[in-house]
Amino acid sequence: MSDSRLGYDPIGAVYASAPTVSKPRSSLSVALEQTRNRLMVTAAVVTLAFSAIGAKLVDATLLRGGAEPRQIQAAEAHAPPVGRADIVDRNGNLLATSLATASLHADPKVVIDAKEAARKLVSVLPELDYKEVYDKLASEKRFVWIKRNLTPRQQAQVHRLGLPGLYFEREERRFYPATQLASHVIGYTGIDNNGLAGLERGFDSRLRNDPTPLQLSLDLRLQHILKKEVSAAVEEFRAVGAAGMVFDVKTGEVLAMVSLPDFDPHDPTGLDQDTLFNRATLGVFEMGSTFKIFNTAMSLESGKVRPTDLFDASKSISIGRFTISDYHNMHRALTVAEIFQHSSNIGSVRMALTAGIPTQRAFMQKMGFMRPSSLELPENGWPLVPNPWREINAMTISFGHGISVSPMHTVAAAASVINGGIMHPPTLVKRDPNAEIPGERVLSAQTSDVMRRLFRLVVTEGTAKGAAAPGYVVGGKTGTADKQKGRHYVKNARMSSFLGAFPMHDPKYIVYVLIDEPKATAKTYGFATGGWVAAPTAGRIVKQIGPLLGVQPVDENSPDVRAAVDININGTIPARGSTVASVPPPTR
Amino acid sequence: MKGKSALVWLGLAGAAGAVLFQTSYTVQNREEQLATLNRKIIAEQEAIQILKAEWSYMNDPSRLETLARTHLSLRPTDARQFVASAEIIPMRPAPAPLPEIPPMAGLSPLQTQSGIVRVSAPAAAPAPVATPAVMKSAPAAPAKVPAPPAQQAPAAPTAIIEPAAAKVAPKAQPAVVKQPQQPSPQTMTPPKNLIPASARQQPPAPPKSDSLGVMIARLGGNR
Repeated sequence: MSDSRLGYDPIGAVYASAPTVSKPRSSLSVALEQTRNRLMVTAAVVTLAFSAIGAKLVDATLLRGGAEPRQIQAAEAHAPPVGRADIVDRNGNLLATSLATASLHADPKVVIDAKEAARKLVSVLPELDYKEVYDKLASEKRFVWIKRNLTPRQQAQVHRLGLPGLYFEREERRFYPATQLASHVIGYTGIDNNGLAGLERGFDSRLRNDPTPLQLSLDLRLQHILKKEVSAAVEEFRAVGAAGMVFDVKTGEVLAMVSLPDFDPHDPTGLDQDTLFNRATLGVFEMGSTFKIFNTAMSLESGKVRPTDLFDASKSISIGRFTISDYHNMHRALTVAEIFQHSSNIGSVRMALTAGIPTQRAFMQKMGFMRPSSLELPENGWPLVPNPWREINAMTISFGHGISVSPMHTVAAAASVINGGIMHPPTLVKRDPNAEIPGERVLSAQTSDVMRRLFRLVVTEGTAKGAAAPGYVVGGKTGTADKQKGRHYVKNARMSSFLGAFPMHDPKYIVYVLIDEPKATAKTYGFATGGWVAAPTAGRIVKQIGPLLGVQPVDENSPDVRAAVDININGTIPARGSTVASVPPPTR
Repeated sequence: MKGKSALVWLGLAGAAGAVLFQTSYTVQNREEQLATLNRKIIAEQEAIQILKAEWSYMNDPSRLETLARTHLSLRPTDARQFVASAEIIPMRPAPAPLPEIPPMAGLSPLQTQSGIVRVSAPAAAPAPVATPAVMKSAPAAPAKVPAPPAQQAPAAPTAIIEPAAAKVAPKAQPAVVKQPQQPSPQTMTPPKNLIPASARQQPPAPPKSDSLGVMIARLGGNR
């Protein structure tokens, strides 16, 4: 600063010769002082700025990795390339997946010769209409779709045409490898990959946001067997539809669910409502005699009815304009076991009235018949429940009329009746094997034990002998309900069903078959009831799925099994070893 | 002095510039490589996705059942074919010179009825020289002449099967299979398999189906 070597530093020069404090300040010295101060401030500011820049430089080059942010990030090895998660069955088999495809769109402004372009396009994509394509390409828009989801070959062909103004867009297409096998459960998506039905809709946001596959409780193999057998029954009895289910009574998982007729989820357009209708969950029906499961369980659980109690079933009951009669009138008093075995409507009514109407209503509520089931499907039917719940309703409900529930309701409730009395909410998603299974007690273990024996009785000596599958100790209950059309019941239009469970000494699975409007055949001697139509189907299903489910076949006459499933028709439970063990098991 | 230091600085700046230039080009190249790799990875992932879909499509139970019914003589397992414990199964009548044959634990009663390939083999006989018959039959039915893992190297085809003897095997005469190893459960195939490939009736070859094409055609089904 004060260096005056160069001779042009007036400040220094003047300052050097400046007078000391005592001298009065001239205007020149004041000006010089001011200038010097200004220069000092300027220097300070410039120093500060440069040191800030320096600090920032050090920070940017040395401290922060010394590079600008990378423009290209490495692709993640495990991230799926598509936006909608897969759906897999309980064993990991693919049920729905997304595949990347190319869609063709055009910018008509850039297309030079619309006629030529349309002609060429139709030559490689013959399914397109020339007129339509020409109109699109000649329009004034800036964006038109030509065709969605081209195959790779079509894409290459269009590419080779070399037409200006045509572009491809990468899109996703939902693909269902099992096609029709689980169409009602999985559902389908629209052209923009949004779920429109089934689990695709029920889990739409989950499938969009979480790329991990959604694992269902379904088992593809069981699904196949169930569908095969149920379709065979539909064909044999020329039925209009059917529903089937395999259900795990200990976890509440639905292992297979079929509703017929079904559809191809790749192309669900233009189908009638009946085909898209899920009879297993959305359809609510009067279940008929299968409801006697709940009526009997309710009566026994109320404590007012014992299995040995006799109820007069000889005369029809008349109430109002209705007459309640039996399909096979036994013309005598029946025990609870016999009422269940022969499926007596009259006996059931008397049991329900003995137990009491409020008890019945409370029990049906506990069984979940007053609200949609907990299933994850959007197609989840509301039961039709009488309101008010009068005596006539109580009487008809005792044999399954006057209340309409879905097959899913029936199966889930029946599972709680035989599994020891615990109601597990039904689910279509595989349960975590380590997590606790939700459930609430709805029935005592003793009642459940009697119910199991009654189930078995129906197959060994009752209406469902056709359901027997030797080795698997099947039990169950048939049901035949006349269909209501308008305000009247129609004869010869019925819902024939069978709710079976196996193995009855330790129930693990329920097999449910419902056939909608079966026509009797010569083979069934003109009958189209549950015992003739649905029970044999269920028996065939059990025979095939038993090995797959790892159910060990047992000797049905072994003392252990007999002790667990036998009940005398007078309602008493045979003492172990008294009558049964004396019969030696037949040797093979 | 001044000029020299200026030159040094200039040289340093030049060198730094050159290194920077070089580095930036390398980085650019690398980024391009990375982008290419990314594209390839995504293409591969999409291909894997398609293959997975195709695998599931080919493994559709309905299709498998049709194939099994056409090409196999197997039927669904019946409940009576299961046994509760291994003790129920009768032991195989073991030939006298071979006391060390292990019991066939995993055997079902059906197989015991339908006939056992009786193995008469000296426990540690040297491997015989392979005959042409063996060479022909071994690849056709590899299940019945498995090469013992321990002695694999010197004696790959270890069984001699006379085609004439093998043909009558299903009737009564047991086929003579000389094997220098302990019989494994794999040798318990039904006698049908002993018929050499030439004599066996080949199932009609499945029609060559373009499964991927079919699948993609399905994809195009929705417009």
